[in-house]
Amino acid sequence: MTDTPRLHVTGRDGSTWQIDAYAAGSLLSILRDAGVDEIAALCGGNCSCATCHVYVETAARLPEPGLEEREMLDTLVHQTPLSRLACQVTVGDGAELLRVRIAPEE
Amino acid sequence: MTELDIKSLPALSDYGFTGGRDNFRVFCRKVFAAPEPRFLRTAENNLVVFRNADLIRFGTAPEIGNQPIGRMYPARFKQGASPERPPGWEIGEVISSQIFTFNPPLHGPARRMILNWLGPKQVGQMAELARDVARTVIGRIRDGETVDLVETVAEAVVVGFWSRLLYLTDEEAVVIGRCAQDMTRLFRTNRSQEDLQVLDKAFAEYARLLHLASIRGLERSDPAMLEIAARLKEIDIPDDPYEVGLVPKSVGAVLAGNLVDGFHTAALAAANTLYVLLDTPEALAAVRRAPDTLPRAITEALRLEPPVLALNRYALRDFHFDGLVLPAGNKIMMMWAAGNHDPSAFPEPERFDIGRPQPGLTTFGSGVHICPGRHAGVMLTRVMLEEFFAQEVEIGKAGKPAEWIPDHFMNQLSVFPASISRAERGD
Ligand code: HEM
Ligand code: FES
Repeated sequence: MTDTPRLHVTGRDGSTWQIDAYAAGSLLSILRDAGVDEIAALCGGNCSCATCHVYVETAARLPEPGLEEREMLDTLVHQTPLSRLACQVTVGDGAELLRVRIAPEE
Repeated sequence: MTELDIKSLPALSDYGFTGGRDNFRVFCRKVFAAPEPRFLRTAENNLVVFRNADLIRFGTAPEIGNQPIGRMYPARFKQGASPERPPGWEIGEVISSQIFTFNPPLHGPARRMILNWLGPKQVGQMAELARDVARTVIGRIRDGETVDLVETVAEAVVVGFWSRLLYLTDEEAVVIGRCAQDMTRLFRTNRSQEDLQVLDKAFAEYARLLHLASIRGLERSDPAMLEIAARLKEIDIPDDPYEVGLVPKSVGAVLAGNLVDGFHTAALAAANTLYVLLDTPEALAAVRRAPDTLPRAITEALRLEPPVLALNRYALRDFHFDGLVLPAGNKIMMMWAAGNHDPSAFPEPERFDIGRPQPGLTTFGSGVHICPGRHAGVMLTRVMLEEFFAQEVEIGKAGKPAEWIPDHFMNQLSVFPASISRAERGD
């Protein structure tokens, strides 16, 4: 079981990261701590720029996006049903198994 | 915690900065030659933040908000102030509806009015209109002509676009274009009484036209304007000029307040991008060959020649950082353009390099106030360039050099002569 990475990240150019231990927090900070540096996050995690757009492919246990996040997602050309803003997704203490793909730049 | 001793910091002028682009370049070379000083001060003893990491740190800190309108124009809100309108009044009238003067709890809902109108998807749907405008503007230029790219192209495309989007007539577009030119005086480092008079007139006329635009849009059930009206109605926050801001009183006020940069600064983005590409012919040739690289090329061009040199922020609360404290109530000059020329973030900052990593750019600010109009601004620049390519128009430097406005907080060309040659006449 322990070989299953808890977080599997695919970057824009197809490069991948496997993360099996992380501290609870925003998905943005987890990705940053793991060295995923291609997310601009221009507003600093304030749900105000949408440059932290990701596709979360295993979202079963995540809380639904709130109104502000949904409105920001609605402004994106590359929005899909899997779209989330990484700064607005809170992830627990390593319990979930997530597949995250970084969305294209707008 | 030690209070940051602003008065003891070196002054901007010690590093040669008096405003304007050429001066800014010299300033950057000098100030970034060493890791110290970390901060500078203005002649009025306001803090100047200019290093890339600090711009991002201050920009994203919730303590560092917008300068409230009552702090910008204190006389305006004084009890028992004379009913006479002092110079600068009309500017304040427009700016007081700009989210650039708002803080929580007003800032978020007001900002969302603009974000939802001018998000990437919404702006994408406006691109055809922009293309139509650019086609006409560029189609008018004759083979062999020498034109000023600022007025003939950049301003014409930008002002033409907003005017068409907002139901202004061709005559009104000419008038509002002149107002936008006059607004250039707003960013002078030393504004004279004459500047204020010209600005008051320009702002009043510009606001009148955008008020008309809002009425026309609402009458035609323009979805964007209906949406702004609905959102505005939902905002129930008492006016507070000294911190939170003033709720805009109409859709026209929202448009006027927040489109100053739409009409003015977006044209600088278009002109500055042309400038960089003409200055780097191999880059221009490369984007012509591979137009899908245009977005990166524009981003890099705006890194090199960012339209905004500096704008102010304001400490809403004490800001603690690295054992220091910047007390609440301080005005802060954020030199956003310097962040793009900081070699610790962008090595060899004066070199155009389309391949360089782009995170960390400060062209559009940083944090919760990051420019909400940036997608519109960049789209207009992109469409303008695409239209030059589509019409097979070659642009070359003309005999006379381009000139940058000195003593200015914008990185703005006053004139940019270029020679035009075209494969075929677009009659
Ligand atoms: C294309 C060139 C443009 C540049 C370089 C630019 C740059 C900037 C910068 C540096 C800021 C300050 C952000 C901060 O404090 O962190 C800003 C804010 C702002 N810009 Fe732009 N801008 C541009 C175009 C536009 C356009 C086209 C519009 C409107 C359609 C616009 C509307 C605004 C507004 C309303 C703010 C205040 C945002 C807030 O406080 O939340 N700008 N811009
Ligand atoms: S970092 Fe800006 S919306 Fe997430």
